[in-house]
Amino acid sequence: MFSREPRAPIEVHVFGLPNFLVIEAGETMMIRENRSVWIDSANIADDPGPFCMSFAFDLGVLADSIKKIGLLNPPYVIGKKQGQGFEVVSGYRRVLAVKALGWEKVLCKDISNSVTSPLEYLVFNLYDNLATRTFNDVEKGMILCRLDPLVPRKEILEEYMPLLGLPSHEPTLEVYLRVPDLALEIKEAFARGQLSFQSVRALEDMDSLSQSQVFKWISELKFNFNQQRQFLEILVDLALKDGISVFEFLAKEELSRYLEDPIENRPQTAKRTLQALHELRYPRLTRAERIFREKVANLNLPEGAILKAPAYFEAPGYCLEVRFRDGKSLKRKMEALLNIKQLANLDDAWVEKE
Amino acid sequence: MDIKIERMLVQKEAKDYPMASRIRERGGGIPVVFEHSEMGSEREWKETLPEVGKQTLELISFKGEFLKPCPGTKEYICCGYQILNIGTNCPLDCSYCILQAYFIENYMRIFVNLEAKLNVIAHIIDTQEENIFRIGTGEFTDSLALDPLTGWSEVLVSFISKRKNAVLEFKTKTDQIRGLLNTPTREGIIISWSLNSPSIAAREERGAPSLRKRLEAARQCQQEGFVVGLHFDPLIEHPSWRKEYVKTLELLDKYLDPRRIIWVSLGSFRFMPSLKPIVRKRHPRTCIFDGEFVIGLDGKMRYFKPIRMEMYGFMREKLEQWYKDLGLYLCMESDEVWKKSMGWSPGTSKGLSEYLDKRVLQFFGAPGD
Repeated sequence: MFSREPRAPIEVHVFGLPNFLVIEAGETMMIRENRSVWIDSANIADDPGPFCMSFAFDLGVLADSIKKIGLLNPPYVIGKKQGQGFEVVSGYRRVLAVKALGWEKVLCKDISNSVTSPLEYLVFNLYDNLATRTFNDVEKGMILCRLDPLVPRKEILEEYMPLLGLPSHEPTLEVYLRVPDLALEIKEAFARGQLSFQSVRALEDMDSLSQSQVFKWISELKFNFNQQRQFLEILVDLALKDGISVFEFLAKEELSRYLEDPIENRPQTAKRTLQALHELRYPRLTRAERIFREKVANLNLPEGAILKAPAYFEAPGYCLEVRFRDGKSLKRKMEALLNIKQLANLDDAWVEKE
Repeated sequence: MDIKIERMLVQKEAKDYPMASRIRERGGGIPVVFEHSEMGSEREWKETLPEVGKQTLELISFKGEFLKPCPGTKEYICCGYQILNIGTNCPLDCSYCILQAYFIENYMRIFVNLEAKLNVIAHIIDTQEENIFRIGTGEFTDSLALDPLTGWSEVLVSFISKRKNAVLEFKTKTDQIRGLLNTPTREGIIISWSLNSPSIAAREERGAPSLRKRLEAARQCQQEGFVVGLHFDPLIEHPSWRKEYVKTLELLDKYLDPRRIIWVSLGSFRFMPSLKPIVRKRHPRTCIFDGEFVIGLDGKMRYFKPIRMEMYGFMREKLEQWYKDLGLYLCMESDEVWKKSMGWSPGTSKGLSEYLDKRVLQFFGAPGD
């Protein structure tokens, strides 16, 4: 392990930060007096503090790197107001890593005298991170949440959201602003890309019990994004219709058995669960689909002939698809079709014949 | 019905129109909180006003076309209506209102340059004598809710009465008929009420007068010689919906003379998918999404077809028990649904237009009569 000696104070020029600081030289921000100082690790706050934008990171990789080649980029800190210890502005993960490695002192840049407002600290950290990595969705929520009290909404929408790779769309902003309030396990899944944005939006509108129960279902059955969407949409509709919470709805015996007592493998259980919900939400449509399937099965169509209904039976009529090898086989199949007497009775799918 | 308007925003280009002066005069104490220019108007006042809503009225000079055909869709049969744009949004707050998805903000806008544009509309109508123009103002706003302020009825009744080939339908859920009753003519004027079951009216049509009040107003209009229309749109499947709709039909019998009803439309609840999250947020206790909705051929969500047919068939049967010749028609439905629930079909949008034009001729006579 090797460490670096403090270097002479340097002047840092940061370009292209229109919202950043008052500026002494046109659009160039000068950070002066960013003193390099050795600070006792114990004097640096352990908590993420108000400027942190890191979530669900792997400290091990960073710690290994520091162990091998040292701390290349010092964390930026400011003195706490009460004069006791330091708060991390940028480099929270590095601080955690060196603490984990047992370093007693850390070489930091103290920017207490050069940057003075919470917004400036926040933007400093944002651009410092942006230059080196992409943010996960929870981190984006943390950043927007921290900017929200300090920056006009319009500016967040027009400048910061595109910077984070998000659309300038107020409802999207609202979803991200509520992300930090979600339970840790949900945030971790969102950060890892296991939960879709739409799922998170739906979860945010639920009470905490429902949130955790839904999350349990999604994670145990490993629903993909499309399945998550179906699951949540139907679930919310059914719970609202019954006037109960999603938590209460999922506790119903007819559903809970899928999770508590699965008789099939996970993908099959996931499929069965969605089917059960679909039947509860769309009883008449499901019945019509069943009747149609039965009617078609009773026709005994020749091999290679498929009778299809339009989506949701909305458009009029049906579609017959016949696969054939050559003209002779087509003729045979057509003759077989013409001889199916029950074809004449094929009518509305939803009408069940006695 | 009380109109609660707390503030007015006035576009600079709009303030000198007579309608703007009339609204400000009749509005009495409503403060004008912002005068803005046409360009970037919203941006300007949004920065000043943290929250706008149904209590905010904006007066603007509308730059678009005032008279436009109802867009319809080729997948379903459309009635061939002409929409007269007089403003957007209204003081009522119906949970199912599609305008919630059309406009991000729900403040009301009045197009105060309407009178100045009437000559353009007159030219369109008068140069197509062979066509009957069925015009309505109730597409993007309630036709009468703001009439006491705007005086739309005074302006438009006089305008339509001079046209030989046009009728104007005021479509409303309110009882704001005083302005209309004070007009000197009934020629070419239809006053229509949007009706629903009593429980839907009470639960989902926030701010709207009760069904009784609406029908009392309709009766008064009939007694004063106006032709009346009715719209059961949206029909909503809800607990005991048959009994509930029958209650409304019983009220019709009590209040109205069916012989003076030009048409009754039926339309089931349909919505753009984007409306649902908005309504869930604005009206969390709504029951309008409880039914079985599927994606229609026009991309809108609508009830599964047999449910629609059942509702239409039921309404048709009950309405025809009341009176045989009500001019029943379906709004945005397929030929198949028409045939299976109404027993006949106009076949195409043109066919439905012709059917409704005949109703116009039956009630108002042929042009030049």
